[in-house]
Amino acid sequence: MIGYVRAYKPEMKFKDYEYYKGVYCSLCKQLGKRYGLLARMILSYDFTFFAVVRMAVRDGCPDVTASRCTFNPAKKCLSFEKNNEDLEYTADISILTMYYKLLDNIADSGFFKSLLCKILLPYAKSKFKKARAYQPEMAKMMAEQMARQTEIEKRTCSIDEAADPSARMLGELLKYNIECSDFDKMYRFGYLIGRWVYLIDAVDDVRDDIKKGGFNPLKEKYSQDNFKEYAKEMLTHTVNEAVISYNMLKFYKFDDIISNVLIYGTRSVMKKVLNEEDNK
Amino acid sequence: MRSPYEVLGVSPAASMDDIKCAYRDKARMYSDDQAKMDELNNAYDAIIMNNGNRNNNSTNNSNGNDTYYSTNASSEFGDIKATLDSGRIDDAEMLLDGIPYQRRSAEWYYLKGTIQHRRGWLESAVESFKRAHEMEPQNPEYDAAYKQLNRERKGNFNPNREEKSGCGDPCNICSTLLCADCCCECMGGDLIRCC
Repeated sequence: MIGYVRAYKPEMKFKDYEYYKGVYCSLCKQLGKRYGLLARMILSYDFTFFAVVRMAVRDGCPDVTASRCTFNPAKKCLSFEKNNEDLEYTADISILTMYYKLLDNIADSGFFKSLLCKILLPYAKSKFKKARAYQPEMAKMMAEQMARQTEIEKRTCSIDEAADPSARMLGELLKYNIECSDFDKMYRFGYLIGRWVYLIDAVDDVRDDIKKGGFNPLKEKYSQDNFKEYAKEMLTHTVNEAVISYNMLKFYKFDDIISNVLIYGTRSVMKKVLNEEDNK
Repeated sequence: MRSPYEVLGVSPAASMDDIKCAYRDKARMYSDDQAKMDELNNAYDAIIMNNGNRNNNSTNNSNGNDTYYSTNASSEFGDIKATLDSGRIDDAEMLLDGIPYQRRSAEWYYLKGTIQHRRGWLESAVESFKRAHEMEPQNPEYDAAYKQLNRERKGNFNPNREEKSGCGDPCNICSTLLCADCCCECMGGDLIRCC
């Protein structure tokens, strides 16, 4: 479930790419600062986008400074780290999400992957506790939604129902304490992005899940002949609804980055996932 | 036969909110018992209809322009529509789900679709709008809703930048100046004379 929400570089302006990279680097540094070196490993494009959206609805100019990458000092990047609550929040949320993802992997995966996750668990748990202390409300909300997901997966459920906990989670995370009066619109935007991520992950995994007997809400649809077409329509519909709610939101900056992710990013990822489906 | 108020266990003077509350509580209690549910739904509808008429008359007497209740009177699910309009999606869905199968008309499916769409349950929303459209193909509202969702499924929507206010970039002086110009023009002044 990682890396589906990303920008599409060929359609990006140079300056937007610099900003995007800057947020990416700053998030990495923030993770290192708050949770230690190893935590930087969980850096992902999805959370970069999350941070970009959070920063974008905030009025005013962020403090931008020039900095260098810790791992590759020859690489220069912009840094947004100065007084950036959004980056801190995103770092906390990344840790919380990773912990739940790890628990999920232990429950679902095969022997070796599950073993690896179990080895990582004590480390993840200590970081999780720290993140939970920073964001108690969101940690509680996420735990509730994860429990709902487990409960929903136990019975037969519709696609919408299966996607609901993840979608709701992102909606709540995105609107939490945001400096923006449009809570409902922000929630819907987050809900739809979360739904899209859940659905594309389901499309990506449906073949494996059928083989291994894991849960997947698309199993039934997969057995029908026009699955690929159906999947494309379902995903496109969700993206288009997200675009509609994007149009209603006011972004003070990074507008082009967000629309790049929404249009070109999602399309290229969809294309890739659906074509892989052909080659399998 | 018991009066509708007895069925719901409220006094005839009870407020609409109390009646709704009582209805919801009972509906939860009897959700497995179809006969009880039917009795409950009929009682609830009877009260709502009465109340709708009462309100309709009173508004007509005070000022003839208020069409709110008269449009509702033509609708089978006026109360649910009003609940939905006020943003109480959960309540509206609960009331809607209490309607027995034989009374689920095209409008019922349209309302169901609207609720699902608001929740972001797009797959179910498409199904519901499709059903409403199939049951009443002539209805322009259902037709438009169904077609709109189909457009969203087939084509790619692009973000709409023109209507957005605010400055696209944190450090873009030109757009800031243009914004300032727009603001000045709103107030009657002008910052950049050529535009």
